[in-house]
Amino acid sequence: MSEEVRFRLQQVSCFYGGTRALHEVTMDIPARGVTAFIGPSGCGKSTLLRSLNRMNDVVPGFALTGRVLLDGQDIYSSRADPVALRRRVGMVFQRSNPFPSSIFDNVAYGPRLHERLSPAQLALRVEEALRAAALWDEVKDRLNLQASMLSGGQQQRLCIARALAVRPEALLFDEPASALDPLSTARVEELVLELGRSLTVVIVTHNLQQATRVADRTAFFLLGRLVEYGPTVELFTTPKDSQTEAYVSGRFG
Amino acid sequence: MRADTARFRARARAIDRWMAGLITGGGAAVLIATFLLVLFLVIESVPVLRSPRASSEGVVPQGVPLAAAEDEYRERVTVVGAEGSLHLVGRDGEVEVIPLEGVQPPVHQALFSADGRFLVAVDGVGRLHAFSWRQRVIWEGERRVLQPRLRAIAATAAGDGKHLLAVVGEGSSAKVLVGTEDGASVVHLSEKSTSATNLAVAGPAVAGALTASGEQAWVATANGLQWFQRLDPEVSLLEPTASVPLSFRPTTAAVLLGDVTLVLGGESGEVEAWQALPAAGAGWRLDQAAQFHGSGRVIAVTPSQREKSFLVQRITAAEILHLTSRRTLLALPGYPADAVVARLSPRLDGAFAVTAKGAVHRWSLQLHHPEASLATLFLPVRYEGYERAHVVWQSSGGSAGFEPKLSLLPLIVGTLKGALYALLFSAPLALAGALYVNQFAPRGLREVVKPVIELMAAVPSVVVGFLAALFLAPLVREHLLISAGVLLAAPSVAAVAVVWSLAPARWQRRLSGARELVVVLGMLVVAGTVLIVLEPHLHQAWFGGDVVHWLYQRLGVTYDQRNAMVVGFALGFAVIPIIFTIAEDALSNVPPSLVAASLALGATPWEAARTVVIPAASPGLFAAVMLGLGRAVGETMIVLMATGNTPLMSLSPFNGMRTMAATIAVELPEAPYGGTLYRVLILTALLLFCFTFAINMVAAAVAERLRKRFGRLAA
Repeated sequence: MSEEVRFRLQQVSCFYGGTRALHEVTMDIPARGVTAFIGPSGCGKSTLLRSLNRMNDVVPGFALTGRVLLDGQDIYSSRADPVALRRRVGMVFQRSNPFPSSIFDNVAYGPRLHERLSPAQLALRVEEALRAAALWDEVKDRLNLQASMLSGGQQQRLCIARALAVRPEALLFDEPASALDPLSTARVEELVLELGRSLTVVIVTHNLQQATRVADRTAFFLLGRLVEYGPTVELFTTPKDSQTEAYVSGRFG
Repeated sequence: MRADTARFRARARAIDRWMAGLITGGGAAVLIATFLLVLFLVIESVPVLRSPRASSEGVVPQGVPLAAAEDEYRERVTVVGAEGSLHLVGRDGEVEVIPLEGVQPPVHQALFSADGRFLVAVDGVGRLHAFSWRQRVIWEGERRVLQPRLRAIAATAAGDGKHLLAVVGEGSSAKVLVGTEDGASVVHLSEKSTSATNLAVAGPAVAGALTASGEQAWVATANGLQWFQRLDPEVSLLEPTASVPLSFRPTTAAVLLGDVTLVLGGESGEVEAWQALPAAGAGWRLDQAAQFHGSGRVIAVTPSQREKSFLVQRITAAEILHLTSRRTLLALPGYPADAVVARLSPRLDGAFAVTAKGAVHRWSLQLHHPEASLATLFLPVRYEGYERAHVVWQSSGGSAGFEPKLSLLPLIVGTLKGALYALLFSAPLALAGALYVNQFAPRGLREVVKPVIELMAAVPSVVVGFLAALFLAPLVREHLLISAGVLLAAPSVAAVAVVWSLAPARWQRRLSGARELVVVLGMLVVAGTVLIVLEPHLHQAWFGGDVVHWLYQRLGVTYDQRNAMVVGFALGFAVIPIIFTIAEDALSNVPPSLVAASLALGATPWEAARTVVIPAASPGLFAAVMLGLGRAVGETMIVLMATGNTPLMSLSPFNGMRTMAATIAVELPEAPYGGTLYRVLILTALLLFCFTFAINMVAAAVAERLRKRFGRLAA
């Protein structure tokens, strides 16, 4: 496979205080498609995801060794700017966290920080992001509505739109549907699939079915180690590792 | 087993009910106590604005009257009869007659001094007699008996065509102001000698008055007013110190208690107050200080011996007026049309009038607090001896004739000024500190800083006030430049930070967390050292050695040692913990998920704080500042000790002030219960309560609105 690589992880280990959370993970995440991280709770998949846009920096006592390359640049080098990094690598959290302002202001938040857009351009950008997040038709008449008035699924899609509005190169999803009802989950999954066509999408999920539905590649973590990483179909049907097989077949989790 | 459980459940329920009752009762008790407190303040302060009242008491017939006075206990009215004797008319109509020794009837004119203790009379052969008139109190068991004592001081030939204008006395001497056909003179009468001072008046004197001290005389002619400053028995002719033309025809004059103000009554009902003021340059000028409206020729004006009110006797009515509040307090109801004499009782608790037929009418008066009105409490008033109307707080003076100046404005302004300076100093520091500690400081720092700042609140305010007054104030005075530098420290750091934010991001990243803090502290230490080293040189080079002197010379700015700057500093010390703690709590309550969302969108920590944390915490930040304001407004001990307590209206940071709370603390223990000052102070307390109440209401309302706006955050 001569696919373009977005993230290249080389012997990445993460520590919280003295505790090692990730153990020398080495993997490549391609620029297109959806990559899923699966594994039981505490296996380090969320830590790894957060290492991709340095959201772990704010956690006291966090440290990382090894190298994380984004398009060939080490994002943990002393010259790298975490703020600029996060602009390129967006993130959608487990629980929807819209700002306590209007729908429009939520989506416009990022562009307003980084770009000087005219009101018309800004409105266009907001529309574009909302369309990409498949929310436009539902909210186009009430952009001034408080974001908190939306349903849980809509709020999560609003958060996706908000992340898309800064036009990131990659989008990280941290169990984006775990707090949603099945219908909303389906819509978010559709969206993840859709976004994977144009962006690098990494998704952490507890839900194995979800991984099979949305991910092109899946990585299985256990106790801070990357156990197996490969195309989703292979990982679920013909796992190379016995632990992977035990996990995907539901013997533990 | 089951029985045990049931018993346990029953007990738990009983305790629940009992506790619920206790808590509800406690809450209700707090509400009731607050309500009762307000009720007390209202009940005690509202009477200050009560209207005066008079009730007519009794009518007792008597002989032909010339003059009259009343004793302190309002037992008997002493009427001078034309047949040459005093008639002491009791309340029950009983009359005691005391003959005026040496007086040849018929008596033509008679006059009591304003205090009723001296009497002059011109008798049938034209002799002027002066008497001292006292009524001693003696007790016969439980019964009070007034023992009259009439003593002749001196008598002298008065001459024809003279009429009595005024009399004052002291001990066994008296001075009588007499009008003549071509002027006026003052006759000095004592047991040893008699002399006269002619007053150089242009034209026949129509009205006149003497000050209680006997040192000054006012004489009004048909078209002018003269003031004679130094009456001396040795001087035979005295020129007026100041004079002024009048626009109306005067009929009578009287000097009010305090010897400063002359009240003139006029032919067409005019009543005007005049005062002598230092003229521009040298000498004196006469100035009209007040004008009262009314109609009907003024026959006589008698001043109260208690305060600045006076009775104006008109041809068909009698009114009680008050100088300070410029009000007509009341008109005596049922005033007889044929009244000859009308006067106020010595204690101002009554008034009486004697008709031409000798009937005595009495009124009981309740003037309450005539010097306090909404106008005198809140508007500028032209007090005695002032050129213009001012707002002044000066509640007590050295003499009985002192005019209380009870304007609440200087106190309100002082309170707001103190609070404003305190907030100017403390709010930015406390808010910025809370934001820094909450959002940017290294973890460990927060664990240290927060308890330390909360500990600041534990310092008793009397200690803060003491240090501010006795340590900080002289220090600031001595090192004004360093103090200014200290005040500029925070803005300077902020300015440096703004400049630093333009530096390349790479440099900025090197200087984060603890390193940043060390650099800032280092900068402050260096700047402080430089300032301390440079200060003496700057003093010499730019300010001629003394900044305070320089301020006055160059800018005309006066500097009080205990001033708003010092108070702002000290009061700020008390306010900072409140604002900091509440603000920090509010910032802590902002959900971390929002900050994470902002950071994940590529916001810098400062952008996240500015666009997410501060707006979300704004209800709490606002409430913090308002509670700080409430504390600053209500704080007593610090302002009491550090403001200098000068009730000035100046907003200058270099002047002191006097706050409402400090005034209450200082003056309430000394204020006679039920008196005007007492009630005004209670009113001040009520106002203070309203202030803090309003501040809290506004804080709650705004916080509520902000909370609605950022509604979901409460969860």
